[in-house]
Amino acid sequence: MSAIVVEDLQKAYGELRAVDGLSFAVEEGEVFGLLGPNGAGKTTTVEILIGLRERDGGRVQVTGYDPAQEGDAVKAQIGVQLQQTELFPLLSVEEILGLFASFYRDSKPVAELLELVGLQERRKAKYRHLSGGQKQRLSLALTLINDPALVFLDEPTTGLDPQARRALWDIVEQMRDQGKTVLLTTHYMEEAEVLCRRVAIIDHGKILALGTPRDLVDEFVPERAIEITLADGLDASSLEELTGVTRVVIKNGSAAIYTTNIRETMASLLQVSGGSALSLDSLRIQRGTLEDVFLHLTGRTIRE
Amino acid sequence: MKALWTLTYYTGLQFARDKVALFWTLVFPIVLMVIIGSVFGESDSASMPVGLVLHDQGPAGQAIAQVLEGIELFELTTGSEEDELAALGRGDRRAVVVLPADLSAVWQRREVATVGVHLDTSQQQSAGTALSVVQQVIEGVQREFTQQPSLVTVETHSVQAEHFRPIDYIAPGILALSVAQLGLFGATTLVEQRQQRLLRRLQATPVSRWMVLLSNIIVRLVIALVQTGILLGVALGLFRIQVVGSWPAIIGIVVFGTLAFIALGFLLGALAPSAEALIAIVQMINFPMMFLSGALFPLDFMPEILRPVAVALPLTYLADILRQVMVDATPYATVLQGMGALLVFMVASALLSWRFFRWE
Repeated sequence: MSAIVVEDLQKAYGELRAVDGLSFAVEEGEVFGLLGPNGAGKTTTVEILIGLRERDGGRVQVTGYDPAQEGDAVKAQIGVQLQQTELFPLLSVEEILGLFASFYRDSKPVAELLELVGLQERRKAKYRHLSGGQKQRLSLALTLINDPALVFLDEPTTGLDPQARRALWDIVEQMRDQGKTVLLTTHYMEEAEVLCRRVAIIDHGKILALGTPRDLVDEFVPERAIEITLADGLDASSLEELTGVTRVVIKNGSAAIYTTNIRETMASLLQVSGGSALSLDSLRIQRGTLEDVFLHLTGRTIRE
Repeated sequence: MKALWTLTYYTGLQFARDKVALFWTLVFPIVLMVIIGSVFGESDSASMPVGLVLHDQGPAGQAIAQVLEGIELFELTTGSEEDELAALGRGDRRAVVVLPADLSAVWQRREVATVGVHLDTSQQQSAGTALSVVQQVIEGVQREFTQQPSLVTVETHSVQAEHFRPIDYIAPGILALSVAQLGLFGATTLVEQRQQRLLRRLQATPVSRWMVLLSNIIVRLVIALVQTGILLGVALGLFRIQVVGSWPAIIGIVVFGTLAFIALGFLLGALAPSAEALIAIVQMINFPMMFLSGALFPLDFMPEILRPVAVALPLTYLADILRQVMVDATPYATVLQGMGALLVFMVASALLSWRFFRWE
């Protein structure tokens, strides 16, 4: 059974069609990513799913309910993290958890949640004294306060440093291991690749592609890149003559050789390198990323 | 219900931890009252007007009159009992001493005489001073006259003078002003929370909007009552205000007034784009309101041209009602009219704010 079903979802703000016919389903127990640049319609979609916004058209089911009709039933069963939300500055971590616990019929013990997000030490600290990463971890703990089967995370790591981002990923992975269904939005391709079983790439309110990160890469950017360091004075143009090469990008003293046939290109590269000053010491083979998929689909990078 | 009480508790806790808010709601009104009260409070003029009614034409009466005349603190007037008591009632005397017609005769017989002293107890401090000086003078003259101790009884009569000291007028006004401020700023927390998208986060939980609103209103009401308690404590303890009305009536009016101004505050909160803008708007309303509403001085002092402004300000009515109930001042409008005016402000503001308040 699907935790979330969305069919032909529509939402316009005046002229702007923020969500323009989205359809997807999130299976129980999977981490599903909505991936796209700012303004793609990710947040609007989440807000419609959690009952904070009315939709203009289409069909939506969240944990078996229509959030527009039975918003309270949906809200009681889900956990939600919204972007850029500041909580109560003068309340402590455990007070905020206690407050949110009172909104639900049943709630998880505060101590357990503190441990899960690693905030035991800071439980007496006032919210305004928390770091950005600690605030986000508290907000993740709040999504779990009613022990929901389905959790929505809207841009959970935006604005965090890499270390804090890793810590948050760990928490999301724990959610997944506990069997929770997670719908997360992000514009970090790496985040989607690490966390999501499946992603939907969204732009201008439409789904451009949907699948596992590996399948999407294989489908849209089948090229592999062979990266090598270039010695000074080497004529790089010869690299383009290797078998199967589609293009060569030279940057900062290294070359990325793109190919659709990794076996043949490697073979010819080895042949060429044998009789030249070409060093293969730092050779790496790179797969395409979701970033490349997005670039391929839209002609833009995701943060443009 | 659990959610409502928890929300209310934590909203209150946040307020209690907000030192700036605490200062403005609890300390500032006291400072204001103490400063204004000390400046305009008891008219501590060098001399104290005291009336003397000299029914006794004998030597004892003359002697007492002479000594009283010599007391620098007193500004002595002699007149008929009727005139002097009327002057006391108007607040023009602090005390009136009535010497009985048979005073000299009684003391010549070495018997106990009764002297009447009428005191304006609305001015307790000066009344007390006047009484003790008068007592000393009369006893002194009596001992000299009779060469015996204790042949006089001083019978005191309390009079509540009709006149008002400025502090009598100002104290209820400051109470009204504080309640009004508390209400006008009532939406700041909500507007801040809207700005920080916290209201939106709360809406993603099963907690309902009215619970969020109600918890804010309850907290404001509790603060209003604490504030009222403190201000009344200062007014009664420090400035000896005589409260004539019933306590339930005063508390009821404070609650009613707070609700009316909270509704107005929510309307401002609905119109203000940010918390900073809201504070600026409230200040823009607050300062003129302070001076145009008659909260701090009588409307009669106001230029004719500004009267219509006062009539349109809800604070005018709240101050007026509180003043009537607390110190029985001459009303500007009846209590019912005032309550009616406040009710109109409250309902209109509540409806408009419900219509315009944005949760995101």
